[in-house]
Amino acid sequence: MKDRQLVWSNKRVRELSKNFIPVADACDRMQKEACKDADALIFQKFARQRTYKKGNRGGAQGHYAVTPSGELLASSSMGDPKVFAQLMEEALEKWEAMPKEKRLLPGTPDPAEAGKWRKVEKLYPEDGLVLRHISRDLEKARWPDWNLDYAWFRKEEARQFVPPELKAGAAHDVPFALMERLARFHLIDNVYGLNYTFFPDGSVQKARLTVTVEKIEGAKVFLQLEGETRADTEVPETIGFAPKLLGSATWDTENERFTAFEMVAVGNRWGLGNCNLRRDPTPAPMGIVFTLAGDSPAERLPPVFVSRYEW
Amino acid sequence: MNPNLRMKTPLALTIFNLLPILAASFGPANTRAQEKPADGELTQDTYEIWRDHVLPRSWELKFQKIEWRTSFWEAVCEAQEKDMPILLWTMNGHPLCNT
Repeated sequence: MKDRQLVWSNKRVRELSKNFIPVADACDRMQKEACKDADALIFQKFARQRTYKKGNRGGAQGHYAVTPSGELLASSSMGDPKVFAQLMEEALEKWEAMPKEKRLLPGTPDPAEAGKWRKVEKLYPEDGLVLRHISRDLEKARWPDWNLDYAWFRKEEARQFVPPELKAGAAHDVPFALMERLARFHLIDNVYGLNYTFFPDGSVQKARLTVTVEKIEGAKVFLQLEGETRADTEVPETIGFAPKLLGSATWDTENERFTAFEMVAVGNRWGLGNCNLRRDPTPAPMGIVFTLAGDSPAERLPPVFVSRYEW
Repeated sequence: MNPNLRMKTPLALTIFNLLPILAASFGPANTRAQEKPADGELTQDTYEIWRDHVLPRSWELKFQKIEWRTSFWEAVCEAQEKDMPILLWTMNGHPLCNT
């Protein structure tokens, strides 16, 4: 996460990146030797190699300048933009000096090949509700102290946030199954890093969101959100989160979709997690804000636990 | 490899790199100190304070200014077609999402 602020926010690095095809991707699948997907076979040619060896982090994580054929030009996992900018310049020099037949693949790669491994991406709810999830602690244990994810709802699920009776003052509770999914997979602690621990089935004691129609103006239904959840478990990790929920949303009855959505969840979290770099299990306030996501490729990335949605 | 790259210590580099961020954190453009919630209570009165505390500042989102492709294979195909090198940022979990 430091890379977001240290490396890729740097003006020189951003400027130099225009000489490359810049890409961000997870290495979890590609770095497995058993993985024989087309992208993984290229990735495995250079993964874990470092031309700048300081600051090495685990596995194949890091920054690489490579050719389409998988030739390594430069690599580092150091969070230093000056070092990396210099590596990028060196990579461009190597690229220019390398024969074309070495830097390019012998044949034309087929973009459609990605369909073999990018399966959850196909579940993107085009006509549903996509929320951006941002988390941050009240008290910063260290920096950087925020992270993001996305939450997906299909059209028929999004509709369940809206009271069936559309008149001012009408209220209803969002079905427990939807709120339970939110509590299990999205009201979790990823402030300092990806948390592989979600709340298992049966660990959500409370998951209520009451949605009230505030007013109606033409096709716009203005909604108020209020609720609370509580989830805790001791298996596989001792973790818990008990937030209050508040927010507002606007439902468009003509297009049957939300045109605005903002919900804040605040409460004590406790426990650690798995790989999320949380070091203090003591209960402490954490906040999560959900807002409507945009439509850029990055905002269409799947939620970490989408495969658990049972879609 | 430029040998000068190896002369700096990681600690010195870290402090050096954090200077603009520290400046941004305490400078007049950043009002987090005033906006920070007093406690973990979420009420109608603390709603905006909490929301603004959690949401990232513009300087925390500068990394999004790069025209990131979101899959390595997509980048391979495009780089092959355009005869350009690839710049890959890879982490456990997608770097632009939940890492």
